[in-house]
Amino acid sequence: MIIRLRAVSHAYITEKGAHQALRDIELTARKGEFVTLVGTSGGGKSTILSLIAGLLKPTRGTIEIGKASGDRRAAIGYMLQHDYLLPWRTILKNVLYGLEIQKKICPEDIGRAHALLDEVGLSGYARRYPHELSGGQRQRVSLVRTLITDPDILLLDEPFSALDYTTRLKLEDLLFDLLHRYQKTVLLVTHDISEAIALSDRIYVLGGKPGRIVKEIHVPESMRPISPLSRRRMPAFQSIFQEIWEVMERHAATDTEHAAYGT
Amino acid sequence: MPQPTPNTPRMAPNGSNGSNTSRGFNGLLDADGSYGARGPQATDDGTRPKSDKAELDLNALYNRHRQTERRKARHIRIVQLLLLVLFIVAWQIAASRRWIDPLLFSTPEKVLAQGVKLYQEGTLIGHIFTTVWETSVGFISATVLGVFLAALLWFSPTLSRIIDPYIVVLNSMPKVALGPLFIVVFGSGALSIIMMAISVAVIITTLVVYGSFRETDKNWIKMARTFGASRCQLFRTIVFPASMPAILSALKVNVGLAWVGVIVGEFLVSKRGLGYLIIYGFQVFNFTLVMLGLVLISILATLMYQIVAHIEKLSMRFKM
Repeated sequence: MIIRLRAVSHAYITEKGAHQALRDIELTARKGEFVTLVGTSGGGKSTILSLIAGLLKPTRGTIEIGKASGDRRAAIGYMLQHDYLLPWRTILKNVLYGLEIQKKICPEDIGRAHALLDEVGLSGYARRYPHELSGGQRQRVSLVRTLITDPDILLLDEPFSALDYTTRLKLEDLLFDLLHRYQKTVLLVTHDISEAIALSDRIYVLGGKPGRIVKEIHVPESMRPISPLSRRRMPAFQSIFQEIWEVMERHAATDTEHAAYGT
Repeated sequence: MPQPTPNTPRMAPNGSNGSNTSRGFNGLLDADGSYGARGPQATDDGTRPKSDKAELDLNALYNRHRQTERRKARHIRIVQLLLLVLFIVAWQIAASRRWIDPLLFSTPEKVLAQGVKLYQEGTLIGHIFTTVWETSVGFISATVLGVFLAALLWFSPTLSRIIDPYIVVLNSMPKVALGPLFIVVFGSGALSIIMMAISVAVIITTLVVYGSFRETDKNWIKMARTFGASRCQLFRTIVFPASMPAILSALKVNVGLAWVGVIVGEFLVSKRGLGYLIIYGFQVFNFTLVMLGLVLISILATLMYQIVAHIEKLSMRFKM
C-alpha cells in the first residue's frame, strides 16, 4: 500500500469553536491505482487530501505514505480545484514553479516542460501569460506544473469542477491517458458520481457529518482499461451510478449533526 | 499629421459592401505604412464571398471607434489647456486691475521675471536640484524602509501583534511635529530634511504594504505549500510579487508625502531649496518669490508623480 489511513479523525478549531470534519477514516491505495473519494460538498473530502499532503496534521489516527522505489518516500503532487497560476509569470515559469521550490532548475527541466506542454496540447503557449488562456487551458497548465515534479502519488481536488462540461470530458480523457502512461497512483476527490466511475479503479463514498466512509465500490476489472468517455456509454456504468446514488441519498437523509461546539 | 487609421474604406473602391478578411488584413498592412504603395490592387476579389450578404468590416469599425476616441481625448486636452490659460490671464487681469492685491498675490508676469532673474543669477537650478534630490531620496527610502518593515511584520505575526498599538500611535501622530527633534539629532542640514520626508511616509507605507502582504490570495499560498514551499520561499515567490501593485501605488502616494516632509523641513532649517525660497520670500515680504516657489513645486511634484506613475504602468504589463 502506498497510502494507508488508519482511524483518521480530524477537527477544525476556530475562534467560534471546534468542528469535526472527519471520523474514523480508513482508506488505502495501491501503487498505480486510481482511487476516488466521492461525496457531497463540505463533506470533508478536501480535508482528507490536505491531511495526506501534510498540509494538515490529523487530530487522531495515522497516515502512512509508502516507499516509491528503494528507500525513497513516495513524493506527492497535489492539484487544486482551480489552477491558481501566478499571473506575473509566463506559462513556462508557472510550469516550472513547483520544481523551482523543490530544487534548482536545470536546462533539461525546461525541455521537459516544453514536452509536457506539447503533450497536453499547449505547444506555443510557453511565453504567454495566464490571463491569455481559457479555463481549460489553464487547468492543463496546472496539471503539467504538478506532473513535472514527477510525483508518485497525485492528489486531485475536484480538478475539473470549475470547467464547462465538454472541456471537462476532454480533460478527463487526457488525464486518464497521461496517468496510466506514467503509472501514477491517484486519489481523486469529486462530488460528480459519473466522473468517479469514468476515471477510477475503486471508489469510496464519503457521507454523513462528520464525514466517514460509508461504502467502498470496486469498478469491474473489465471497465478499468477503458477510457472515461467510452466508460460512460457502458451498461455497467448506470448500475454503479445507481448504487452510489442510493448510498449518498441514504446518508444525506439520515444525517446526524455530530459537530461539537464549545470551548 | 499622418492618420494611419481610415485606410480600409478607401481600399475597397469597387465594392462598398463585403470586405473580407484578406482585405482587412491588407488594410492593416497598409496602415503600417510598409505596403502602402500596393493600394487598391492588393484587394483580392477572388476570395470575396459571392452572396449578397455584407460582412461586417471589422477593421473599419475599429478604426472609426479609435478615431472617435482620439478626437474626444484631444478635445479634453484642449479644454484643459484653455482652463490653464484662462487662470493665468485672470490672475494677470485681476492683479493689474487691483481686484486682488498684487503685493500679496503677485502677477504671472512678475513671477516669470523673478524666475528668469534667479536663473540668470545661477541660483534657481541649485534650489530646484536640492529640493528634487531631497524629495527623491526621501520617497524612495521611505518606500524601501516601509516594505522592509512590512516584511518584518509578515515574517513574525507575533511581533506584529505586539507592536500594533504603537504603530497606530505613530500613524496618527503628525510627523512634522518631530521636526525640532530631527534637527537636534541629525543637524540642521539635508539629513534632517530627508528624515522628515521619510518619517512622513514610512509608517503609512508599512501599514499599506503589510496589509497587502496579509491579503495575498490564500489559494496561491496553498498552491505553493503543496510543493513544500518554506515561509521564505512563500514570501519571495508569492507574497512579494503579489503585492507589487500595492508597493508601486505606495511609491506614488509617497511622492506626495515626501514633498510635504521636504518643504516643511526646508522651512525649518534650510539655506537652499524651494521651501527655503518660499520662507525667505515670506520673511523679506517678496511674495513674487513665494508664488514662484509654489508654481515650481506644483510643476515638479506633478512631473515626479507622472514619472513614477509611468514606471508603475510599465512594470504592470500583466493582469492581476
